[in-house]
Amino acid sequence: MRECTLTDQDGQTWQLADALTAGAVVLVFYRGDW
Amino acid sequence: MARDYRDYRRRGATIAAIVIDSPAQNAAMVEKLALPFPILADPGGEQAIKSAGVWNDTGKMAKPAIVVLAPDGREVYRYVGVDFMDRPGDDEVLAALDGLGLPPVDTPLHPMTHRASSPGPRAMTLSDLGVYLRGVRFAMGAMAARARDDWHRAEAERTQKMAERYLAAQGATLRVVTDRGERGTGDPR
Repeated sequence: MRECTLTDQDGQTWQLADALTAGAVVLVFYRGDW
Repeated sequence: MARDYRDYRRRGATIAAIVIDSPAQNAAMVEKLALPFPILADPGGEQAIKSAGVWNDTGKMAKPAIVVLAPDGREVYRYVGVDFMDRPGDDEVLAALDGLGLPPVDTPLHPMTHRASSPGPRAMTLSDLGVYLRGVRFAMGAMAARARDDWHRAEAERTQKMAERYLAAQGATLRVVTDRGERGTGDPR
C-alpha cells in the first residue's frame, strides 16, 4: 500500500509515501462515474 | 469533505480520492465539485483499491470506503460502506485524526492545472445532483414513515440525514462554483 503510485486528474504522479511525509492521509474510495 | 477540508488540514491530514475512472473523468469531477484535493485513477484497482482491501469484485469498482493512514503508514481508521449512500460522518473521521495529535498541514494545496476534462456517461451535473439528493431525502423520509421495524426505520432516517448533509454540501459547492464563475478564472479553493 505504502509504495502505491497513482495518476491524478491532471496526469501528474501521486505517491502515497510522499503524501505521508506531509502528515496523515485520508483515502476516500468511491464507485466512480458519478 | 471538500467544503470542510480545512478541518482535515488543521488536524494534520490531506485527502486523496481513489476511483477506477480515467484522469479526464476525474478532472471533470474535480472541476464540477471544486475539489481542493486530488482524485487518483486506479482503473483496474491494482495500484491501491485491491491492496486496501476495498475492491468490489462483482461491480469491478471500489467499495465506498474511507481509510485513514498515520504518517508512519499505520492504518488508524477504516469504514467500508455497503453502498454509495453508506458513508461515515466527518465527525468520526476527524475524531480518528484528533487521536493522532498531529501538527496542521501547511503545505500548499495539491496543484491543479485543469487539463482536458471529460465527464463519464452517467455523471450528473452539479444542479442535477441537488434534484437527485432531494429525491433521496424525500424517498427516505417516506420509507422511514412506512418502516415496520426499528432497524429499517433507523437506516432510512440515517440515509435521509446523509442526503441532507450532501444537499448542504451541494449548495455550498454551487456557491463556490458561482463565485468562481463571477470572478472569472482562478482557484476556487
